[in-house]
This record gives sequence, C-alpha cells and structure tokens, in this order.
Amino acid sequence: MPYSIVLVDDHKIMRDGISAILQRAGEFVVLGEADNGVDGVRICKELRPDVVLMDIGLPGLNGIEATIELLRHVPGSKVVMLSMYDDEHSVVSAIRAGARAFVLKRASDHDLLDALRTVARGGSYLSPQVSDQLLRRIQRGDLESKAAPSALESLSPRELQVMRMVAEGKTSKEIAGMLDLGLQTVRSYRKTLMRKLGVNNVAGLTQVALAAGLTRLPRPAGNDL
Amino acid sequence: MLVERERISRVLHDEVGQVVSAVGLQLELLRMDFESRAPEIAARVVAIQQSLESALAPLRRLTSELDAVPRAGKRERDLR
Repeated sequence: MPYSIVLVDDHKIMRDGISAILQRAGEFVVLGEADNGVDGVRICKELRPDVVLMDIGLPGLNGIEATIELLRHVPGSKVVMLSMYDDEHSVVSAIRAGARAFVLKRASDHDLLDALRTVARGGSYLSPQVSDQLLRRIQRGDLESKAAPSALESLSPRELQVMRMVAEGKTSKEIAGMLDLGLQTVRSYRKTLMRKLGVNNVAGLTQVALAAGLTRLPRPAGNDL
Repeated sequence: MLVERERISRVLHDEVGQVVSAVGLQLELLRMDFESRAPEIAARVVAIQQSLESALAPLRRLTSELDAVPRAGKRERDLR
C-alpha cells in the first residue's frame, strides 16, 4: 500500500516535478499540495498524511515554524525538510523542529526518494552533502564548544515565531489567526518577548530580528514559479 | 546596501536556484524513462544534470555569503 504524502512548496515548478517523480516511483500517493506554511498545516490537519515534504523557505509560516505547528496537531506525520541550502543553521533548526530528514534541492544525484522511503518506514535521513558537512564539524570539534547564551536564546520556539511575525509587520490578530492561538495569548507572547529582549517597541524588535537573521525583507509579489 | 543584497539573494534563490533544481527533477524523470531501455541516453542525461549541479554550487555559496551579514553569528551559534 503506498504511503500518503502532502507537498508544501511555494514553487509550483518544484511541486510538479516532485509529484511526477513520486507518481513514477509508485510508492507514494500525493494527497494534497500547498504553496505556503499556513495552508500546509491546515491541509495536513485535515488529511493526516504519512509523510510531509516541506520546503524550508515558505512565505507566511516558514518551513521550520510550519513543522512545529504541524507536529503539534499531527504528531504521527513525518516531515522531510527540503532546502536549497545546506547551512548548519537550517539543518539544526529543521531537526530541532522535529523534521525526520533534511534533503538538499539539487539538479543531480537525487536522494529525495531515498529520504522519503527511509522516513516513511520510520527512519531518519540527511542528504550526503549535509551529513558530510556535519561530520567534518564534529571532527574539528566545533560542535562541542558552547557560545555564551544571549537574550535571543532565552526565547522559546513559540516566542521566536511570534517575534518573527511581529517584525514582518503582522498584527496580533493576524498572528493569532495564523498560529491558531487566542488574541490575548499572542499579546502575552509579545509582551514577554519584548521584556526578555529589552526592547519597548516594534521598531526595536524588528531590528533585533533582522540582525539575527530571523526575518528578511518582504518578498516581491508574483513569485510562484 | 542591505536591501540590495537581500534582493540579489532572493532572485538567486527564488528564481534561478529553484528553476535549475526543478529542471534537474525533470531530467531525473527522463533518466528514469531511459534507464533500462537506452542506458547510453540515461548516462547523457546524468551528465547534463551534473553540469546543472556545477552551476548550483557557486550559486549556493554566493547566496550564503549574501545572507551572512544579517545572520552573522546566528547560524554558527545555533549549532553549538
């Protein structure tokens, strides 16, 4: 019996290509697709797929945040994170969010099917380039040192999520809708994270978020390739 | 300056990188088609994929460098 899968990627050209490969392989049936994190979480809550293929760089909720949300509601689904980049921050954030695999978008040596098969059967997977890079860092001892904790590191994953959205100009009401939280809860998160960061307005919070790479400038419109 | 870096990084990632990667997926379908009945064609498809991949590698490096300024310290710290 084929495994069920949901594809979440804001690039239609990627979803179409992946869908065609999965169809050819015959081991997976695509239950649904989404082009943003909020819809991705909503569809997965409805369809409860075995596997979710999640792009890391999604508009709205990014792939990391969508994974946290999704697994909160559908813990049985297994997330495979798909990324253009193999930087350590992305890999570690994905794994911390609960992803079972991290696959690099490539033009050759596709390991996507291997990753999906492995995860569907209960395993974990890292693209060879990613695991090689981590191995080299472990061998150098880089992973053993511990940086001094910063105010940012004192924030919970949920507070980081709210911080990024506030910095991107979203209102508390919009954030509450996207994260399926009460308005008062979001206001409480805002108040707590501002206190922890020592800022007292949105401009200060945005500066911290930009400096930390938590958010980027707004995406241009018409980006669905 | 920061805005310009962001824009270039986004174009490279969202437009160039995704298209190159998606073309690679389409080539993968071709390779699967020809793998058993015409292995010599499948091998040529792999060679094209590898050429595309060699274009993606510097693109990844460049976008990482462009992203490095606002993210300074953050990526490194999070792995530790």
